Amino acid sequence: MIAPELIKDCILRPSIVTSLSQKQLSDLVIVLRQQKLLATFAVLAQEQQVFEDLPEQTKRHLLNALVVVSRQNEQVTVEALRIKDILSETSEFVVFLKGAAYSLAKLPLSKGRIYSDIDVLVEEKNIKQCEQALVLDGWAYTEISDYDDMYYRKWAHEIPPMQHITRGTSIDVHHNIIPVVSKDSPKVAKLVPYIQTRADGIQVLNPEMQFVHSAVHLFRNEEYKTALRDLFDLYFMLVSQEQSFIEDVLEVAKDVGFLYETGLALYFINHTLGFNCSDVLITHALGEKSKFRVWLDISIFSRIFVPTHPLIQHSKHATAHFFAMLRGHFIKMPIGLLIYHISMKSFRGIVTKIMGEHFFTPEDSKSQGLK
Amino acid sequence: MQEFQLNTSPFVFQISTNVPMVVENAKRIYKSHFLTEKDFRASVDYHLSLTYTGGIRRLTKSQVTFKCDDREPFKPLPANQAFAMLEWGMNWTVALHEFQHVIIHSAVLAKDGKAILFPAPPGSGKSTLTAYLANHGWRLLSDEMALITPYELNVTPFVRAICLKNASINLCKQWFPDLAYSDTAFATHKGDVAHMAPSDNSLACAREQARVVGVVFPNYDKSLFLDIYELDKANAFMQFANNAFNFNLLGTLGFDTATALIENAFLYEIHYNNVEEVERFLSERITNT
Amino acid sequence: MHPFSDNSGVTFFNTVNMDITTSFIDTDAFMAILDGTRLADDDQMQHIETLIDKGILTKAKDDL
Repeated sequence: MIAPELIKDCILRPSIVTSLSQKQLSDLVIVLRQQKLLATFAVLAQEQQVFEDLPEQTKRHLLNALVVVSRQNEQVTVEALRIKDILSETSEFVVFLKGAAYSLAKLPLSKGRIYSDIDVLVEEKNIKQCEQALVLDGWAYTEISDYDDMYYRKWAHEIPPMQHITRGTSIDVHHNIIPVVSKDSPKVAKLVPYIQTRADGIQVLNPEMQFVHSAVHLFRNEEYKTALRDLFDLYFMLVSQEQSFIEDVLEVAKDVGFLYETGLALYFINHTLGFNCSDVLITHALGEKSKFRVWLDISIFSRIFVPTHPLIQHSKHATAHFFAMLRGHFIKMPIGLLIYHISMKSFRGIVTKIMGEHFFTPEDSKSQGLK
Repeated sequence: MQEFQLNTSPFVFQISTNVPMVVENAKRIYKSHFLTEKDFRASVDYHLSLTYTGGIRRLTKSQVTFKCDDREPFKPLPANQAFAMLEWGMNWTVALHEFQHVIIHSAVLAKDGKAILFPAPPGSGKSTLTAYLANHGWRLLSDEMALITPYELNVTPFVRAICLKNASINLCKQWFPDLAYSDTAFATHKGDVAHMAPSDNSLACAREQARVVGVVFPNYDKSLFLDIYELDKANAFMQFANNAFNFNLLGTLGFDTATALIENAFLYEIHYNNVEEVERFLSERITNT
Repeated sequence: MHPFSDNSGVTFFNTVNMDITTSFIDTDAFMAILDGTRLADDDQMQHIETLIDKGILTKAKDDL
């Protein structure tokens, strides 16, 4: 068993792992892999001369993680160029987001950042054509339930995830950075000034907007399993920049209407990861909302950054994921939709508890029919 | 929930399960390499779980699910396939995470430190042949995956149970009545499946590498006693590369290792209905290498 | 690229998309065709055109 703090501490100060026992080190590798932070740790361990002092078995796992991440960084441009070629015929802009964008923008953090799909932002008015263009190019929907499909199409900001039938690459096409049904959903036009275009035509958001987007994504998500990794993304974006970067980020955040989320991000980078961003700036950014709202958010979110794994000695944070999910929904959708979505999810929750987790999978209903 | 470890060199797996048949079968098959808590190794490579999917359905039609970290690569399967699912799950885990070796979907058997790879699709009789050879003077290095050291022609053993299908289950039980077998899982997506314990000798030598000298593509054909074709290198390479697990991630390193291996190995395609003849041929061929 | 020593063919590895393409063309003949010391027959030309389609071979400028 290892303490939850060890996960973040070993990323912040890799040298501490040299004092761990064999068992602790083995547990740490397994938890880092589950948290999608193993490659990040591997890069830091190499850069800070910790790697050579590690046991062979640990080194092997770190090298394995590095193989995946370096292959990904090599391949992403090729894949991005193909996607750009297909989608740019139907959309004014084709902007890569999150993990793929960090690689394409060659951010220092991308050396250890794995991602399982490529996120791309296109124009809303042409989303249907984009979808068709992808289908023609050999992209197919990955298996999801009808309910999720409806959620994606009707309320969320994406068409369902797709996968290329021969190359296996997964893609998530977005037409906004948060669900379109939210009242505070920004016009994508507002993002256009922050798009950067490389010489080869590949587009990403500029570093300031990338930070804002990551912050929004972190706090408005429903999925917090890799929240610590997402917070580290933001942390590494900051540490690789000048001091004035934070002020530029806040200007951008204000312009696109996400000052509060950006403030929360800075708050947690300070409090959870021990960064020293000016309190004045954080207070200013959080000042948008009531003191109660800030208190509520901080108490909910402070627990999502504690990783969950059977090898971690837990405190009482398990329920925070649920609260955070509720909140993720709450701020994304108008209230009428909210009730439908949540009750639908909880109905499924009950059914799965009674009927077994995979009751809804198509494969399952087929095999039931046979018997 | 029960915890046990499988010390299948070079990897140690720790498995959590609430399915009693998984524990019973693992113990029967892996013997002294099945570890209970008092003998646990401190360093573990992968934590896996195999659990009932739960709910009322468990009373009528119980299913099990496999997980590695938070990932669930397979659909749940009927509970009688739980041990087979663990075996498949261990293969999936290694194929997905290990890049220090070029991994080929292939059986590996060795004699006098010289190894032959048998890459083959299901239905080729590969596992029956593997089971036969492994109990006739050959050492089993692996039934499903050849772990090849990059740029070298050495295979690291990954000694695991041999996966027998359909008719070969009873055939092997007749041939080798003293060996341990897992419970048979009927009607899986591969037909009936049972796992056969690796021989004690293979397990005892699980840390000794062997040098690849040949690649043989087996094809069971009940109408042919034994036909042997020598393959040209380009053909053999194509078939070999089709069985690669991790070329896409290893890139040039995987490709260079595979071409070097094909250049230096004898290459045959064999059609047979008689495993004794195959054994005789291969033994002779390997002694002359 | 790897030309097999038994002249059975040439295999190409595309390091960009990880595709492996094997052409069952006589290795020596293939090299001679590329050198320009020998002309390709119809069958060999077909192999070479496939490799050009796959982006493995490109025509040199002075050939165009």
